[in-house]
This record gives sequence, C-alpha cells and structure tokens, in this order.
Amino acid sequence: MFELSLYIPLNANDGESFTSEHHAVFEAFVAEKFGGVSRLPGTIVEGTWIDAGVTYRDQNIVFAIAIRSITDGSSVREVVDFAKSHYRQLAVFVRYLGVAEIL
Amino acid sequence: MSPKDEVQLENQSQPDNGLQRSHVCINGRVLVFPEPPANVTAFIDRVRSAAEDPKLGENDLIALVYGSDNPILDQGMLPGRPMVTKEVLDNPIYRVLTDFIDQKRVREGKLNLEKTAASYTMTTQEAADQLGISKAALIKAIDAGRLPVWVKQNRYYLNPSIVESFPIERRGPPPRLHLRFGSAPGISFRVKVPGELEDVRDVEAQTKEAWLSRWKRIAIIMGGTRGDKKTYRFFVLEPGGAPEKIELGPFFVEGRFRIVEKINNSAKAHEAWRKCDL
Repeated sequence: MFELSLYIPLNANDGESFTSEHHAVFEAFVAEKFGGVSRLPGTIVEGTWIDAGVTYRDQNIVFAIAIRSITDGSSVREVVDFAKSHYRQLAVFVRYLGVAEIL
Repeated sequence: MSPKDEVQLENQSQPDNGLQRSHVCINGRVLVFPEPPANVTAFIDRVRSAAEDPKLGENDLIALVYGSDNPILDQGMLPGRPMVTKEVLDNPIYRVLTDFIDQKRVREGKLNLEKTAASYTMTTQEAADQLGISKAALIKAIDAGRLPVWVKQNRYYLNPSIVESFPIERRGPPPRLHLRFGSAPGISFRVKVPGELEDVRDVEAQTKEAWLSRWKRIAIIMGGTRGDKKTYRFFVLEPGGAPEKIELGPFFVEGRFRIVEKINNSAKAHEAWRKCDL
C-alpha cells in the first residue's frame, strides 16, 4: 500500500471558492474507489500554473489517498478525471512514490 | 410539493425519540443528529472554539478536523493517517466539523458567502431534469451529502457546474446510444467503443448505423478538411445526464451521455484518439 497526494486548488480558475460540501462530494467519490481519503493537516501550498500563455496562481489543499496496489491505476485515473471536472481544472498535480506528475 | 418541503425533508428524517442536537451550516442547511457520545461532543466543542479563536487559522482547523484527535475518523485504515471513509461521510457530525472550517474561512475573508451563494442558481427540478433522474432521487442524493446545495427562501438550489460533473450511479444498464458513423466527402466521424455494436446496418457507402447498450465510456473523433485546413475534435462520453446529440453532417451520436473530455485542437485530438484506450 502506498500514499498518493492530489493537489486541489482552493478556488476555481474563475475565482469561485469551494466549500466543504463541495470537497465532500470529491471525498465521497474517492472513498467509493479506495475506501478512504484524508486531507493532509495544515497543508495549503502556493502553486503556479502556466497554460497557453496564461498564468494561474493557486492555493492548494492536498488530499491523501491510500492506494492498495499499482494495478489500481485505472481507478486513480477515474479519480483524477473526476477531480478535474469537479474542480473545473485543466490539470491536477499528483505526487506518489517520490515522483510527481501533472495529469 | 410546497416550497418548504424540500428543506424540511432532512429534519423529518430524524426520529424525535431522544436528545438531538442541531447545527446550521453556512449554506443554510440545518443538520439534526442524535446527541453524540461525550468524547465526540467534547471534540465538536473544541473545533467550534478553534473556529471562533482569532489566534488560530484555517490550517489549524484542517489539522484539527483531519488529525488523530478526531474521534469519528477511521484510525486503522492507514497507520498514522486518519481517514475519511464512507461511514465517516455518512455521519452528520463530519459535516458539522467541516462546516467549522468554512466558518473560519469566512472569518478570515477567504470565503465570500454572497458570491458563493450567487453561483447556486439551479432548482432541484432543473437539476433532476438535466441528470435524467427523478426529483426524489436528487433530493436523496442531496440529503446524503453527495450534492452540495445552498438554501434560499427555504428551497434547495444547486450549482450548475457541479451538477454537470455529478457522477450518476445507475441501477440497471446504461442508456442506449444511437450512432451513425463513417465518412463522406471532406468529413469523417469515427467512434471507439469498448464492446460490440448492435443492430449494425449499412446506411449508404461508408456510413453505418448501430446501437450500443453496454458501455461505460466511448470516444469520438470527428472533423474534416476545408481547403487545406483540417479541423478535428475529440470527445470522450460517459453515460448519464439529459438526452444529448453530437453530430456532424449526416453522422451523430445521440442518447443520454455526458462529455467528460473534449479537445478542439486537431493535432491534440488525433493524439488523444491514438492513445485512447477504453
């Protein structure tokens, strides 16, 4: 089992703030796939994205997901896809096993 | 259904046969739940005090609510990492605790209630129609915490962008898709499906029509050439939502689906099509 960290912005790119109820929908989706999810305590990090010449600055919260096996890759993909649509993001940043990816 | 019925549903679901507590959330929802054990009550009070303490910030609230002191989190799933499980999400106390995080954000000026409320514009009937489900099923999803709402004049309102991404769990087979694909002078419409098409028939040269019953995801690439310019678009569809149709000339896909991925750049569309593995 290993931990995957998913960085989610506090606000949408149009500035709309996400409430805890909004996060709970994502948490429910992850819990359905992997059994549980956590928010890393006290972690709100600044991030900068550049896409098509536009710079987006984010404050992020970090969700931690317990992955049973590397063969759970398709479920990770579903979570990432849902995160992108639910949080209206072009991409999300993930970190696992010492590597980082923008998906 | 009278205007007040929607909001009162949650209160009516709680049997009045013992001590109960209630909590009014920032979005106007009233959570009513049985009196919790003493250690949980103490923790709720601790989080409330932290939310009201100007010396503590949002990070402190997150550390508290998601930390090992929270008695309602699952402490055994991942050692050293208290987890939010389905059981925790079903517990109204979890929603109370996370609402205190939102209260802290309001106090710190990070969450504008008026601006956030303004984005919740869709009625429950409109949301049900868009999702292709009954209003009762939608209310059930709201009460289960699967869809965020904002309470205005005693009615639930939803955020259209959240409704759009709502994952619908269906009992029974997914909605059947009707497809017509192929190529014509200057245009083409191709589909990738995970299973077998049904009732396939030739409509005309280079054009087929078919139905698809068992599917979780399909991909489409469509476009054509005008002069020396090629314009192609790529889509990935999943079951659910209101009836939709994607069409190009004589070709189409129609049925109840949601577009979960869309690429309008021709080069990127072809790359996505090539890599697409359903």
